[in-house]
Amino acid sequence: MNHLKRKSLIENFNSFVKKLSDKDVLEISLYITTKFDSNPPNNITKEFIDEFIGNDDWAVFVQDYRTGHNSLFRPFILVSEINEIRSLIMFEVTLRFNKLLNKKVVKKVDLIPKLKVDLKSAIDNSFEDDIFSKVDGWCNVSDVLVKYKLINLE
Amino acid sequence: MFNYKNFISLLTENIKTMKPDKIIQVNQESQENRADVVIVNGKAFTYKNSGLTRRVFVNKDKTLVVKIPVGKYSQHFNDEELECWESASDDVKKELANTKRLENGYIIQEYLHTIDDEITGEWLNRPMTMKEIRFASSCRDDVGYDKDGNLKCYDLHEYKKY
Repeated sequence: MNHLKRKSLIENFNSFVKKLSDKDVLEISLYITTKFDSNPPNNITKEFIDEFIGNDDWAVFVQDYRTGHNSLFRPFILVSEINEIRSLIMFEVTLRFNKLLNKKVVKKVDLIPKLKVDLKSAIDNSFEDDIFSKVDGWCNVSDVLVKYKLINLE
Repeated sequence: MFNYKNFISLLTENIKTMKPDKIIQVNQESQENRADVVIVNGKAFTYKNSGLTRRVFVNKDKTLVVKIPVGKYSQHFNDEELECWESASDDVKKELANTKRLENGYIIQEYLHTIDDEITGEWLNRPMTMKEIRFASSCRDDVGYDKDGNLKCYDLHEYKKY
């Protein structure tokens, strides 16, 4: 694909999906990859197809799919870069999923240093005359573990 | 009664004695075709690009190009392009490069900032729209922007081919 065309396609795509929610992006991706044969598109998907693929080309693509033409014996070449666009939308879904996943992982990772500090503090406070009190020590440590929802003593 | 044998021998004898005015080779080339610079109406046009059938020369201001056939056999590509431009509707003319004929049969077209040119993106100063991208694909990327930023096809044989 020509460099200017590809650069423009990506810029257009990014500015379009920027305003979309995760749900919308997922819906478009599912529709243009699998659901198009059985479900009607929603408004945002219609808008996406009209802008990026063109309704005529989309109709030809669906017709091709239904009549069983594969890429080798297709009657004529599609003008729009359907495969490129499908790759872009699927990549966007992956990107957003990674971001969501990353947020959860980051939250857990953030908790570990705090847990360490609290456990150390609980252990430090469990000494009486430089001797570790097993009873108070366990109580202090278990309080921390309960606080971080790592054990449930109820 | 028609004497077939005599007819053939007469024909063969005539062919042997025939003298052609001019022998045109299939691969005959014009002198301009090999040039790096051509002069058109007193102005220099330098070599820009070439395709299978024609070589393209551009003027210094980058406002016009001249298309010179690669060989005598490719002159009709110029003729076709000119005839189609002249008989095209206004809507089609908006999508094709403005074409005129020179006295010697070559054609002169408006200069287009072609999308395969590295500096076109910078010159355009905006991304191509999706409609333009599809138009370019339908013309196998043989398109460029005129001075007003309208996307046009510069090769008739690729115009909306796909």
